[in-house]
Amino acid sequence: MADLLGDLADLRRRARADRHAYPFPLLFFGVASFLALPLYAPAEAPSRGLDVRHPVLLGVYWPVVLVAGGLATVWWYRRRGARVGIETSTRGYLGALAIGLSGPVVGWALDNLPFRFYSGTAAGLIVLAAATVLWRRRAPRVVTLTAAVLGTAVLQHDQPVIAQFIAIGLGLVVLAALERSTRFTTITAAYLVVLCVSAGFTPLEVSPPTTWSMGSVVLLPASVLVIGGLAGLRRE
Amino acid sequence: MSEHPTASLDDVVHQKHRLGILTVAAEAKRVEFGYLRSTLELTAGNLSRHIAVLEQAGLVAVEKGYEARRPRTWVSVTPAGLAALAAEMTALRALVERHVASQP
Repeated sequence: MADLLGDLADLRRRARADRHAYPFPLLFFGVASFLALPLYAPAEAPSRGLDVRHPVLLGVYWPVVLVAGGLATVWWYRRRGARVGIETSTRGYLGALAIGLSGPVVGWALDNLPFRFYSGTAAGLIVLAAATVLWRRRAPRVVTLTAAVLGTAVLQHDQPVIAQFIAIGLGLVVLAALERSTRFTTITAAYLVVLCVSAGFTPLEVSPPTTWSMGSVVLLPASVLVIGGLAGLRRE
Repeated sequence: MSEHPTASLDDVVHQKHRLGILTVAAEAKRVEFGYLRSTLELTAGNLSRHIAVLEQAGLVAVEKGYEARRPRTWVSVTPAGLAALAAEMTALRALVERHVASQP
């Protein structure tokens, strides 16, 4: 009987290993982040914070990357599933990216409430943590979704410079849970830690600002994504 | 006195290969017939028979289609299949624990 349980555990491990396809989204978003660096060139007469030369271009770039990356990831997972013969569900991942994309809209709505809305990074993190617990405990979907949308929106509202990386992180957390890969979970955890460091210590106020000081907010998370993707490829 | 764990074993699920099919299918959205055949080291006929038994019991769903002009059969586990697998694993673990506890 113990042998049977051992055999089943081996089967489970093999099935999980065979369906791992996480290097693609890591590399896609990592490379796309590095490609965004030129868009962080400072404005001619920069004021405070993230004052770039082409704000519209930067504003369009990230939503396009998030949508294209999400669709490409789903395509990649399906293609790999068809080739290997075992397919991972990507519905939750698409949902997470949609929540990440809806954040700025919800944030705008919160700003236009009839009363003053006070946001805070800690509040956003707590609501997102609650959403994660609700999701793992299979709470009613409407409650989980509301908490996830609200937590993400508050976090992005309070940390607009890394809003796109919050959306990517949300997608990676869901993918890591679906893949049940220790390596991918570790990479995702490293990414989230680096994102916090990046948000807290990025020298946006360096004077005079340069593309590198402005784009440094991108460098750390992008590096983790690319290194994680390459580590995943090597494993395969 | 509590019921013996063997009473919780389901004849449809308990068969080794069917338990293997459910275990692999429970790890993914869907699994292809060829993948199951090579992973479980079964002949096509044998695997078909086991899948038919599970499908008849409502524990898996079978989807047939074509990809690049090649016929492909995909197997996915149903909510009833997931529940049956969880119950079976609990019963198996209880049996092992009981066996270990009864050792002198």
